[in-house]
Amino acid sequence: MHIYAFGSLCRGEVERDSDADLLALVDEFDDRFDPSSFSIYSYERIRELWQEGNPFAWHLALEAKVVFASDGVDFLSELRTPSPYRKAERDCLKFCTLFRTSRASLASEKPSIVFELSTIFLSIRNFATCYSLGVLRVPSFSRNSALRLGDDSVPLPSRIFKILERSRLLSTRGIGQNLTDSEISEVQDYFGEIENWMDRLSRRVPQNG
Amino acid sequence: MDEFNSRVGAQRAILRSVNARAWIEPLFGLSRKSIERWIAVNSLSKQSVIVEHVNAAANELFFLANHSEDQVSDAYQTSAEKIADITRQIDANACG
Repeated sequence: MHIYAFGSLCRGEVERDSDADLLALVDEFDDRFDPSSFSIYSYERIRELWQEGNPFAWHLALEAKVVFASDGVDFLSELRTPSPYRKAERDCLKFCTLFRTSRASLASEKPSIVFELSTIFLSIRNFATCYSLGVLRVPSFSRNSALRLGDDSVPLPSRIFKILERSRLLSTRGIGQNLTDSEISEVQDYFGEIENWMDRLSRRVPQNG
Repeated sequence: MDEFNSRVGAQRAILRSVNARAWIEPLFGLSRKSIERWIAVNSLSKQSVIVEHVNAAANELFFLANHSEDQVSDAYQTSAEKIADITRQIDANACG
């Protein structure tokens, strides 16, 4: 069994709402690990992610810190560098689609507004992570990855970004104040900007790259 | 549609069914903590049928609701049929 810490704590990005991201590597199902507290992976699946050059493998390779190793060996370090990431085009398209679907859902009858805005935040964040890894080759795995792309950062005012981030925290951790009608309306005014940003950056993603 | 976005769609379907009712505060997501908030704000019994259905759906989709760091990967498989079944049960419960 191996336990790793990864995410914001390992980057020293500590905020009041920071949580501890923990990874458990196990041989088989182990009910000691609560899935709401741990990302739980088998050794086999982790090896596959390394082989695929999956962004999560890169994230772990670059940031994870071993907390416990039953055999005294840092398993992830032993895997060395993951394969090159070659699915940026597919992944960026996937998160564009995720954004567009949530945008369309918000325009439909009785949407789950906070959930949809949370999903939009996720789409922006993951799109930016895949772009940073696949195109800029300077990966950013932060919750704020979309603000860390230099000239390619998402063109959103800080206030709008924070409303989206709040939606994410409401949806995943159940914390924070519910959104007001005026905040929801304000955010929706920027959907066009977000879509243009994704379209612009998507054109720079090499095919199969 | 790819597996990842399908699973987001499954979560959307569950939330749409639950939030079709008038709550003091709607359900924001299927994470354990957002479910606990929804139960508390709306003074629901943890033994109620709707809470049981929501928990069943959350168990199917737990990774999606709780973790964000690893969501780029398609590491987990979800039973689409099981989610559709839970959605139908919530809808039926809402009408009954």
